[in-house]
Amino acid sequence: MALLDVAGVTVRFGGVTALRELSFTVDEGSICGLIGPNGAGKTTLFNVVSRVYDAQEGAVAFEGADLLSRPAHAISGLGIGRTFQNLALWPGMTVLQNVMVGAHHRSRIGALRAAVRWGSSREEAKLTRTAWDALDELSLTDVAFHPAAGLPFGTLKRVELARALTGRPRLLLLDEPATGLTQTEVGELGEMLVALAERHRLTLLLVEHHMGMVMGVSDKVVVLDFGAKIAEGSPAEVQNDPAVVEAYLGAPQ
Amino acid sequence: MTAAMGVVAAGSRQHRRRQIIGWALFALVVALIPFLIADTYSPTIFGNRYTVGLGNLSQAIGLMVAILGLNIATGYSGQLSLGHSFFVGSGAYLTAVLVNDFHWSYLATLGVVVPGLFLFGVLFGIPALRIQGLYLGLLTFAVAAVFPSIIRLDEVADRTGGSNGLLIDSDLEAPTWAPLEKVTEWLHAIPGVGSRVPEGLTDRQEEAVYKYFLLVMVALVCFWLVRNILAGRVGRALVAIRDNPLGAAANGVNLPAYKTLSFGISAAVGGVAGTMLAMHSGFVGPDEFGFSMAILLIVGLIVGGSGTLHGAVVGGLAIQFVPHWSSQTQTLPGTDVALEGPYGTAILGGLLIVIIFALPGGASHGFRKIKSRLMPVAPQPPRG
Repeated sequence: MALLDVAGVTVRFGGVTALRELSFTVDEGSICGLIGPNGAGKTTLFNVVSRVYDAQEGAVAFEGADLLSRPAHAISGLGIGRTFQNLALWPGMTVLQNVMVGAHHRSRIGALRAAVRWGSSREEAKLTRTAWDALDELSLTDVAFHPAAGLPFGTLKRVELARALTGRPRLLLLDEPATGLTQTEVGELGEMLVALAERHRLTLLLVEHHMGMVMGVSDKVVVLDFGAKIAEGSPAEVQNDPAVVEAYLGAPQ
Repeated sequence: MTAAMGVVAAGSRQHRRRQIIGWALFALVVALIPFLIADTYSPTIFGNRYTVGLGNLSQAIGLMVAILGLNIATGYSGQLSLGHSFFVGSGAYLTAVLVNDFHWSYLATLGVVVPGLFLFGVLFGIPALRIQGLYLGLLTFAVAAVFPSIIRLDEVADRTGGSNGLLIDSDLEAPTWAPLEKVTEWLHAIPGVGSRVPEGLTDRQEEAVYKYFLLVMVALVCFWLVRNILAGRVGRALVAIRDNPLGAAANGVNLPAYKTLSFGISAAVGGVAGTMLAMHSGFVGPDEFGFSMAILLIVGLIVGGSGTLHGAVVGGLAIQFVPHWSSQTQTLPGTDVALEGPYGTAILGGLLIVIIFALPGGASHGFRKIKSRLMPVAPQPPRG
C-alpha cells in the first residue's frame, strides 16, 4: 500500500484552478520528486497535505486513512513533517527552541502541570536532548543559541529540516530545500537527504527546481504543469517525456 | 566585547552563586523598602518636590501583575487585547462583593476569581479565533469601554455600589505574630540608613507595610507560576503562534486551543491583579477600570518590554510612578516657569516615544543587553 495516496485532488481559488484532478502515490521508503514550472501547483499540494488549504474535490490518504478530515495541527502527529519554501521559523526563539517545538506533538506537559513544575523539567530535558541530537546531525550545534533569524538562508533551511526531524515524521515534505545553496552545496544536500531518509526510515516528497538533484535522488518523479499532472515515472522516463520537455522549454514552433 | 565579570557557563557553580547573590539582593531590597518609605519619602529635585509612598508602590505591584497577565495574551501570543482592564475590574469587583456581602477573606476570594476569570477569558478568546490585529483590538477595546456602564446597571447596582463605588469593609490588620514593629526598631537603630526609618509604626503604617508584604507574596506566586508556564512547551507554542502561525500548526500546535488558553490564563492573572488592587485600596470604583486603564496597561507592557517577564515589573512601576511624578512637576526643572495642565500623561506619552525609538524591545530588553555585556552567561549543551 502506498504511504501517501493523492486521488483526484482539485483546488480552486476563485476562478483559478491551482490543482486539477491530481492523482499520484508515494510508496513507503521511497523518494518522490515533485517538479514543474513556477506556479504549477507544487506548494499548493503541500498545503493541501498539511491541511492549510482545503481541496474542493478528491481525497488524500496517509497509510490508507483519510487526511482531509483532519485539522492542520493533527498532521504532524500522524507522522507527516514539512519544511517551507520561504521558511516558517520563529525569530523570537533561539534555533534550539525552534527545533524543540518540532517535538511539540510528542510532548504532553500542559499549562497546569507546567505552572507547578510537575514533571516539566524532566520533559524539558528530554526535549532539549532530542532537539540537540537533530541539531548535531545537521551540524547546527554552533548556532543552537542564536536567534532563528539573521543566519544565512541555507542555514535556516537546515534548521527547519532539523525541526521537522525532531517530530519523527515518516513522511517528510521538503519544499525547495536547495534554495540559496551553491552548486557544491546542492550536491552535498542531495547526499545528505538520501542518508537521512535511510537512517530515519523516511519517505520523502521533494519539491525542487535543481533538476540535477531531483533526478539524482528521486525514485520517482511527478511533473505538474498548470495544476495538472503531465508525467510520472522514473527520472529517466520523465526526462525524455515530450510533454515535460514542452512544459519546460516550450513547444517547437 | 569586554566582560566585566568574565563569562560563566550556564548552570555552573559560579553561575549559581551569581544567581543566588542576585536573588538575595533582590529579597533584601524588597524587604527593606517598605520600612524606608513608610514615612513617605519626598526629595526635592530641581525645585520640584516628589513623593515616593508605600501606597504608590503597593499599587504598582498590583499593576505589575495586571501587565503580567496582559503579557500572556498580547506579549507572548501576539493577540492585541485592549480590554485587559475588564478582567482586572471584574477581579476587583468579585473580591469586593465576596468580602462585603459574603464575609470572605481577601485571599480566599482568589478561589473564585482565578477560575471565574479564566472562564471569562476563554469566552473572550473565542472571537479572537476569528479576528486578529486591529479588529481584535477594537473589539476588546469596546469590552473595556463598557465595563464601567455594566457596573452602574440598575440590576447590579445594589451589589456593586453603582457610580459611588464600593468601600470594602474589611481591614487587613497585621497578625500579632508579624514582627513589623520589632524590625522597624532594629532598622531605626542602624546608623545612617536608620534615620529614614521611623522610630515606630503608626497603626496605619503597620497596615500598609503588612499589605505590601501580602501583595509582594501574591505577586511572587503569580510571576513564578506564569514563568513556569511560559518557560517551557506552552510558552514556546504561544510564541510560535505569534511569530508564524503556519509553522506552528505544521508542527502540531493546536492554534485555537492555545489562543483560547492564553486568553484564559491572561484573564485569570488579570483577575488576581484586580483582587490585589482591591486589597490595596479597600475601595473599588467603576471608572478606575475603564478603558484608560486598558490603554495604560498596554503602555506599561510596551515600556517594560513586551514578551518578557521583567518587563511587567518595570512597566508596573512606570505606569504608576511616571504619571504621579509628572503631575508633581510644578515648574520646569531648574527654573521658575510654572507648568500647568495634564503634564502627567504628556510626559508618559513622551517617554513612550523615547522608549520606542531608543529601546525597541522595551526597558527589559535594554537591561538584558547590559547584563549580557557585564555578566555574560554561556548557554551549555545538554548533558548526557
